[in-house]
Amino acid sequence: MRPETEGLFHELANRSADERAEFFRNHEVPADLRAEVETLLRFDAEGDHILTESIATAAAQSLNSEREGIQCGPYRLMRAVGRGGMGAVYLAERTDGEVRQQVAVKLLRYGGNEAGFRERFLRERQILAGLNHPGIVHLIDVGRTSDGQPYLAMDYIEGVPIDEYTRDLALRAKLDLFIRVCDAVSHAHRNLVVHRDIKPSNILVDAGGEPKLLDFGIAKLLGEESGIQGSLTLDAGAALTPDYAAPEQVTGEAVTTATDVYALGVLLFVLLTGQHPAGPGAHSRTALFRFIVESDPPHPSGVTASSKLQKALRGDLDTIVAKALKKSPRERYDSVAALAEDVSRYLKKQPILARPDSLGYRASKFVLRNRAAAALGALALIAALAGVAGTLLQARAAREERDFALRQVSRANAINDLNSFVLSDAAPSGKPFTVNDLLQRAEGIVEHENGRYNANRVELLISIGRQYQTQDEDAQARRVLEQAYQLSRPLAEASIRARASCALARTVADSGELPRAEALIKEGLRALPDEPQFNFDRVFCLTLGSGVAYTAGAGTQGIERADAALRLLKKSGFTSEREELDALTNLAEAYRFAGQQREAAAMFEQAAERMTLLGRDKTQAAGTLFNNWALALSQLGQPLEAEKIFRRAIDVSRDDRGEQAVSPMLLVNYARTLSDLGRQKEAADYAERGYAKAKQAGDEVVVNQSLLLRGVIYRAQGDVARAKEMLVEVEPRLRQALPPGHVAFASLTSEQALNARAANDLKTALDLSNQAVTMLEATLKKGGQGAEGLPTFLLRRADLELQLGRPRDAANDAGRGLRLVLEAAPTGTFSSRIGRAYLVLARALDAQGKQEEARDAARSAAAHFQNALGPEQADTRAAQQLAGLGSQNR
Amino acid sequence: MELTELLRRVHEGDREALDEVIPLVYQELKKLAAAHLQREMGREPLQTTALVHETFLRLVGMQHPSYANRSHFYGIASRLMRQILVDAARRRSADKRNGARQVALTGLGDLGSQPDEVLLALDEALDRLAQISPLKAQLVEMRYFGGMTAEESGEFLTMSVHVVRREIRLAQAWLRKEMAV
Repeated sequence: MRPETEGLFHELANRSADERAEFFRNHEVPADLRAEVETLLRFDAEGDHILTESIATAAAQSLNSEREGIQCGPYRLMRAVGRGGMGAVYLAERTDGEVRQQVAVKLLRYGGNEAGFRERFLRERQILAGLNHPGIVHLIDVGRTSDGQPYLAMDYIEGVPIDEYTRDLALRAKLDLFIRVCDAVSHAHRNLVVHRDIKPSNILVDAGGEPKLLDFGIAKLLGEESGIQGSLTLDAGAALTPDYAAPEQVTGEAVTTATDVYALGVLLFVLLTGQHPAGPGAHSRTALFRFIVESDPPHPSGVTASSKLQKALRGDLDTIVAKALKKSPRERYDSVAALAEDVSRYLKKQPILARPDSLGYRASKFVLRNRAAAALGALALIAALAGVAGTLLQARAAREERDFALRQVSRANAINDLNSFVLSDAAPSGKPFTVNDLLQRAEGIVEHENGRYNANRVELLISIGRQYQTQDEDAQARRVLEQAYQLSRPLAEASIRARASCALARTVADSGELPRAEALIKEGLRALPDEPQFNFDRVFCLTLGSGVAYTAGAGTQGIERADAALRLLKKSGFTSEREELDALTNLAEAYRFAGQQREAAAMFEQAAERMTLLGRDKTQAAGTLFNNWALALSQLGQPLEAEKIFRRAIDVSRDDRGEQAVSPMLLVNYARTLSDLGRQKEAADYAERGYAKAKQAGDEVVVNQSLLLRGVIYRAQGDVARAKEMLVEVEPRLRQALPPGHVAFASLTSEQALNARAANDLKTALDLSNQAVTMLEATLKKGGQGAEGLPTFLLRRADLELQLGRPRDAANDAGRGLRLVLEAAPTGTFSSRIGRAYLVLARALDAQGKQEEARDAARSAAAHFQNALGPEQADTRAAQQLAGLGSQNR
Repeated sequence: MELTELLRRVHEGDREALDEVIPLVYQELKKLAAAHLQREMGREPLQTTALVHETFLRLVGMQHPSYANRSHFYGIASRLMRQILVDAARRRSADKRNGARQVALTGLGDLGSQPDEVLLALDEALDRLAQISPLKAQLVEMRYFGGMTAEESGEFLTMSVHVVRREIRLAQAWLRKEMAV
């Protein structure tokens, strides 16, 4: 490689395609040099995971081969033939003078409990060796090597794992194969053996196309004594992959034949779609545990790309998979035979026995709160009623926002290490473990193993702390991160000190200690030298700092930091699309928080495009993004656009059974937009559903929001009595949850005023309206939030004054309201809020006899409504009428 | 003699110290790998980086090694790791060509070629790279086989991190190009 090549490569490496083209236009570069560099640049863009995986695999294989030649009882290991689910597998020969027999020998982890192991062996050996079925690989013997390591000897099978084998198979053939697998499992069940570890690598398909199941009951053989059956940890504590684990295995409850049904359900899903129910790609153990215990799996038909396959899968096959994958064992198929039977019926085109879930909210014992998508942008409905942007109803809503700040560039090593540490220690016998148990154990391990190497320890503590945060365990997170911070103080590595400061800052901000949080962020940023190798750490701190800033209400600073983070990421050249997307989304959120809805909307749109490009636009994260984008649009007064995007958010987060997987908050947000568009009946429907779900889930914030919204909707539908009921129900809830003087109460009063007006009690309405304005002005004077509500209240009062025949007061209020709204809006936006302000003013002017001015105002109103609401809306037509026909007094 | 002391000498260019260190490290690596396997069986493929790190922890024991020494250790270990792995891959490859068939009892499928072939190709490409630029080859070796970070490599070779990253990046592109044929 010539120096010129190198130089040119580095010169161009971080430039975009356009910039490179520009460069070549402006510089004379010999053709051969250019070709060489362009080739290298092309290869630069690829990733190198294939290489690292190969190395790792080769390493594993090498180390396996170390054991060749070892004697295991009567068998001698000849050659490693790969790695099975539970250990290295070797081709072995029987050498005790008897018939030379080729078997497969699998070396297992050392048993922890010597006595227990022996007993179990003896007990189980008979049963397992007695399993005789063409689909089950025959277990010949179990024993121990002279080193004490347990081994299994079984028939040697040459075959391909079932997921590979079926990759290009037709649907019918796949299902046939699956049925045969079920038959084998059924046989074992009849002999009272549960497999407990059904997965593709344990199901080989031989040259004749016959499936052979491996490792029946081995999990139990090696599992703990009576206490836990089928725990996910084996004697030496190293865990099995939980990909196929059933909920009861994760939570440590009893394992039964239903557990195998579940695993077969997952297998069927994978065979049909090529991916795991939790989604494509790899998943961390913690993410998997959460998925298994909390999330409803999607339908296979919803996950495939090919529409032909979709049609085939939709309906019966979806139902079959769903029934096998029920969280509660009792709700699954009674037996594997029943599962096979239904699949068989499907193939014969007979009706299956499983019933699809009925529509309507299903109560489930597992919490459906989807933490990963928790940041759903709590737009206070009250605030929206009053036109207030971004007011947070309660502290909890604020916390839900922080997830964005938690997505950050993380040191892969630290997280990976954490995961391995967490699951490499033995579970205390007899006790089930939860994700929190694991985290606590992780702390203990970090304490123990890394006592001497403080830098690593701090890193791991930071990871643990952040994991607690995503689990909503704020007290734990705080404790751990404080510890990390303390430990980091004397360390030399600036990067670790900075990360510890910033990670702590976030959790401190969540507790409301904003000055300290800000100080920590500043400290973190200061600690980082201004050199490129600290870029990732800086991005980390800036991202967290952005969240701290806007939690403290410093919207502009929040934007600056998020923006700086994004630019830094782009510059560093080592980043991934995913990280950039996260940073972009974070920036959009910062804008939204700062009230700059137009910029926020623009960024959200960019982020959404990126997501689509990355193929991530059907994920939960996408759903959250769409929700927040739509909120920004709706706060901009663009309900037409907002409605479309909310639709997308709902589509992405639901599954085919209906809106069951959609969060109540999203339903209510959507309902509000529908109401803005005048589609009251639909709005009522969604709002009621949101209410019901929120009640079920105990989500107080959303219950309140939905009640208020329903009040608005019913009133719009003319049902004033019901509208009043809503307010009556919500008022005590608000009093309990919020401090007096909160903008919510002013909004409530304003709503009551509207109800009174709808009931034609104008005097009361005016009183209440005055109260609302006064209350809000008082709140604002004390520095409270809610300024955007003032124009709304003024305009409503103006409406009332008009009705009461006081046009001058009306014009004053309308004028003041309009001014406030115009100040707040970015120039050039079309907004229904502005439209409304103009319309009220137009009416007031008209009533005062000022026709020209009234028509002008009406025309402005019409223009805004036309664009923001559409030409068919009542408001649009009203404004046009006023603009065109003028006052009826003429 | 203490490993840290040995490493320090190696850094100063002491060839004898190097000769002493290598078998020590090699033994330890193998012992550790075997123990690691027993603990780790059933999970994702062994991470070479974890292995090398652990070896370091074991060998160095109670001391608090200076950063410099750790890098030296990794620098040597990376070379050894590469040797071990490539040797083994070569043997397996030879077996295959002699007719002994491999059975796919693992779910590794998606690697395209067999990992051994990829590894051997990488080894050859690295040798070719070393002809052109010994520095780049060494950096790649330390990164892939030793799991060293840019900081650690920079420390070992007395180079700035920025330059290390640039060199590795170019080397990677070059290697991929070579191996794509």
